[in-house]
Amino acid sequence: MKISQFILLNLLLGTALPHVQAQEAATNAMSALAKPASATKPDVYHLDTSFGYRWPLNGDCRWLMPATIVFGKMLDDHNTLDAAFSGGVIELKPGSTADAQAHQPSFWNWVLRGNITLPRGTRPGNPTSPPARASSG
Amino acid sequence: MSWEYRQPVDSPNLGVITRDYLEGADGYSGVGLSVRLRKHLNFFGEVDGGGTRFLSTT
Repeated sequence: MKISQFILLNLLLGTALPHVQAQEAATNAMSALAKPASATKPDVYHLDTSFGYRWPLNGDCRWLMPATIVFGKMLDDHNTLDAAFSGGVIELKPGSTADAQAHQPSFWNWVLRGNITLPRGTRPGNPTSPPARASSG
Repeated sequence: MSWEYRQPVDSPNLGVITRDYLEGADGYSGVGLSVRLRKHLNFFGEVDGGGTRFLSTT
């Protein structure tokens, strides 16, 4: 039952994404007909879906399976600010106090988060310029 | 978080209820790694750690 709920939720979130992309594509096509071709611009917004599996370290939950849809804005070339909505099912530990009283638990979650990306070439020990050649003599 | 009671509960304010919910907040941080395997194929993995705090009453 829980797995079917999780799959259904994933399908709902997964089908939402193509609709948004289709709408955006239609809008872009109309505007492209009215304007001359221009240089490619970097993406400002992004829309993602993801699935997860979590193990709580304490409490009566054995595991959680969240499905997430994320709408984000690029703050610069590498960093983003995201608003995420997630939901999923919870498996309680058999024999626990919570399991004795409740069943079919689920959760819904709103998240505001920042993603900081360390681009390749700026990591410590990975200089962007080649090392100086050692001279002999 | 919401759930269904195995046995209906007699609530002083709401009468007999079969479902209930609890509000809370969580915070986490994580580290991920993205690797470009091919031109249109990336691999991404992430590990998060954090905690959740729920209100004491439903």
